[in-house]
Amino acid sequence: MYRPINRRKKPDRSQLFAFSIVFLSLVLLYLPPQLQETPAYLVRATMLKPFILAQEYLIERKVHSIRVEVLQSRVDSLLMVIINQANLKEENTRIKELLGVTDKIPHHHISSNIIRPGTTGSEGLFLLNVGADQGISVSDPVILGEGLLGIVQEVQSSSAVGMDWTHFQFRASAMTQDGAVYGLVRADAGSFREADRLLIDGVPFHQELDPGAVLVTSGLGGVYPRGIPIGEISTEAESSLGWRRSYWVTPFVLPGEAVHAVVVSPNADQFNYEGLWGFSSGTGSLSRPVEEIVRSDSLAKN
Amino acid sequence: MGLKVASRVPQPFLLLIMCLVFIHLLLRLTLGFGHRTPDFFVVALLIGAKGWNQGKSSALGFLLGTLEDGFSADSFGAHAFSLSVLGLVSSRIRDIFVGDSPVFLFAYFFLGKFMREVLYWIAIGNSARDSFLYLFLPDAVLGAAYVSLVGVIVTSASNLRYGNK
Repeated sequence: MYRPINRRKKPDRSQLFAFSIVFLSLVLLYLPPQLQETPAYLVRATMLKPFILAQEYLIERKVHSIRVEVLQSRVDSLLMVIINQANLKEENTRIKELLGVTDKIPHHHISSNIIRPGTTGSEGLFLLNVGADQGISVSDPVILGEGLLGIVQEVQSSSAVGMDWTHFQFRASAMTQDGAVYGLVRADAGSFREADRLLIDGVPFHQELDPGAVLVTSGLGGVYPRGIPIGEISTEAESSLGWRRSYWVTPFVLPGEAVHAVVVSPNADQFNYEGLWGFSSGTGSLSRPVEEIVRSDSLAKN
Repeated sequence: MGLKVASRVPQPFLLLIMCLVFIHLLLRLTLGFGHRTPDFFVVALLIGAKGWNQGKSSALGFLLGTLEDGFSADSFGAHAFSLSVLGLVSSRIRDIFVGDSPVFLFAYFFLGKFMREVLYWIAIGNSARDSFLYLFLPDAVLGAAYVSLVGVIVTSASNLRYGNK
């Protein structure tokens, strides 16, 4: 109801309290990112906990409700792949022994359910129901059967927050399957969320990529292990003045479909990085001379 | 006089706000419907602002914003800021929207939701910000209309008469 201006109340305690609340929200907004993680985690671990647990329960039910026949067919397919690769593995091991190449960095895998917050501002983020207690750490890659989903962003004791490839901060060093062309893959927001897609940038101008070429992680930077599928080339996006090219990439993983994922975590405790490349310390040469490799070759002995 | 009377909030009013908050979290967080469901936080806040003073409305906005910020890893506080300011402003201007007619209520909820989007867009920072046209021309207008529709229905269904409390 209308009141004349001269009869309106002067600022009272309620108004001062309201301005204090707004000021407090501004303080929260301008906290450094490291300090913002703690109150966000406290909110998730207290007031939002029942809702998160309920969603986790529903997702577990959804995962368990996958038909046994489907699971059985997947197991059969995997069995065929393993049998077919047995010979390849033996040949690979033999060639590695001959060339003195050590094994790849070992990784252990932790499976987790994916929980989507669904709130404004959480686009591109998801929750994992595993955390530091299970061996998860920040920057661990999160993968699905089809390929790379994203990366772990925050870790608590029994939960973690990850970002998928649609997040505006997502970056991954990528290469073609043959390792001939390298570039940096990043998310590019579409007109609407469902139209988000990936863009590979920084491809040298003299190197062209054909539509359908598969991109995998290159392992550069040490965040993602080498060889995780990302997507395939769609069309050329831009070529800037004879300097570089960029291409649209159709990702293999659709984040909306992810309910269960695997976190790949380098097992640093059990791995000796000094012996990874087989260099002898100080000399800068190969630990095994070529002559020795040739001598150890069974073909040469025969 | 009006403010003092309005501060005495009946139990069903508080219950309605709590129900809306619960429904928001249930639909968006637990069931994962996301933006397919209306923003019940804004509906709860605007209903609360019509019955409460500026301090309580702003505090309610801050509380709801903090809940929403629980998943904002990059801009914690943006929701708290936008909703606390919305609580303050909507409580301040509630006297303009004196009627209980659907048209007045629709305008009240529409402007409230739109203002919340603008405040959030300002607070979230350049890195995470979508372009103005993409955000406001299709999304914010539709979202505001959605919230307005739900707000009018909830207000009519609850049969609350804020001016006569």
